[in-house]
Amino acid sequence: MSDADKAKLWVVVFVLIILAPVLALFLEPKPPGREFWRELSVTLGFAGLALLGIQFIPTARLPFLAQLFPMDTLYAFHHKISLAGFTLALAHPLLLFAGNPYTLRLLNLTTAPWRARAAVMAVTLLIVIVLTSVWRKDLHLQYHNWRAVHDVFSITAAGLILYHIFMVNHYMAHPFQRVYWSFSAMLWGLAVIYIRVIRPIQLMRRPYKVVSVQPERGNAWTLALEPDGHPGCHFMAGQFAWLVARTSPFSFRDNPFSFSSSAENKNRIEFTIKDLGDFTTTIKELQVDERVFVDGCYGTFDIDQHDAPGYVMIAGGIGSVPILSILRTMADRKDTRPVIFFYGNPEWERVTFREDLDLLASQLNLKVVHVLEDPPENWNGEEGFITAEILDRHLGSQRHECLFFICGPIPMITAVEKALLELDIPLKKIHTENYEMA
Amino acid sequence: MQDVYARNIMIILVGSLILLSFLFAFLQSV
Repeated sequence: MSDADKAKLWVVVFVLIILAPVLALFLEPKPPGREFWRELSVTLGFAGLALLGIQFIPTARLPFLAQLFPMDTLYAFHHKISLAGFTLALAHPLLLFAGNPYTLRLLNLTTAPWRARAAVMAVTLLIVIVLTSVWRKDLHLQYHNWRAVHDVFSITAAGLILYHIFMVNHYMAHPFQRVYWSFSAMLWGLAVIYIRVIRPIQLMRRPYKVVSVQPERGNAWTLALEPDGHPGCHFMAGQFAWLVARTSPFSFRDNPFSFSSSAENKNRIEFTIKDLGDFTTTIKELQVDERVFVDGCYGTFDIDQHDAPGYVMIAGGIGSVPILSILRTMADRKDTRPVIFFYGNPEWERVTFREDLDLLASQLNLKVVHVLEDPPENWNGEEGFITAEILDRHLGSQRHECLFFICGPIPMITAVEKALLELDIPLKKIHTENYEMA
Repeated sequence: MQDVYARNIMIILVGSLILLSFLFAFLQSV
């Protein structure tokens, strides 16, 4: 079975898992006197929990899912589905209160039964999770602090909601519901144990040591690592890994970075990381022989899984890192397929890998199109942002045989995808990687 | 590309859940 078929199968399984508890409600007997809004409230509550609970799975970096789906898509899916699940879950008490205002007394935690207290606490935690996730940057929350709160609150909220539905016992008498929710709780728990316990133990057993830290143009640093007492990870060019430095893999302080080195070099891996004032600032302070941990490899942004007679790479700023890995790998393999690389940057002096690209252009069938927002005087190249006009000017007649790879922030990816659609490039030929996953 | 698939799957999934919820509540109340 191909990876595409496996991915479709998992999507079907995922949809069935979510729909199952709601479909199973139709097996319930139909006693007289049921109120529409109350029943709707209960059903939406089940639907919301099914959506929220399964969120432990896509974010657990499970190898079989990470191999089939791009990690940034899994995270984007997690963000959207979680909000939908939260909305449905919130509709449950709101409809209950609207249909029968007497139930508002359940909000009084001093007199309410424990099953209602659990629900109120769970909804409060969910509201905090949503607010701190959607507005994390506006609230100036440190990423690792937010993640710790996010994980603890999510697990607690899931436990409280399960306690609530089992204690309320409305529609839970049916064996299917009891088995479904017990089994789901076990799966959610296993996913948490995998990402928070098993995976860190695996990383502890496979440390890496720092070989060098070299400055690059554009306030970026290339961190070179070698496996310490193990064969290392064999990544595909364009993939990324989570890096843990100066702390334990059990901490919440791991950050995703793309490999910048050739995938053909099995004994040494490199990450090129732009100093953005957060964890990335500490990269240049790492010392040779210092121990770090690498959780990878992840991602489907690579040419090995997407074979084509030629490629068009498009990057903005530090989004060039996975593309450099692909180009360096192609050079090591003496790959002669044509590649055009559209590379957007603010200024010429801040073009990361500028000299490396000149060298690669001499080794590969590579054309680099620099696009500068603020070009120097006497600049003869492209100016502004990467637009449909610029793409059209440089893409030859073979554009429809090529695959397109775009890496950068979401606004840039969206704009370039739109430009490519204007040039009649079908979406199925475009692969993207958004490096702002969380 | 993948994001478009993800969005479509989400719309179908959440839409189905809401429709099924309304259908169930209606059938239970009539």
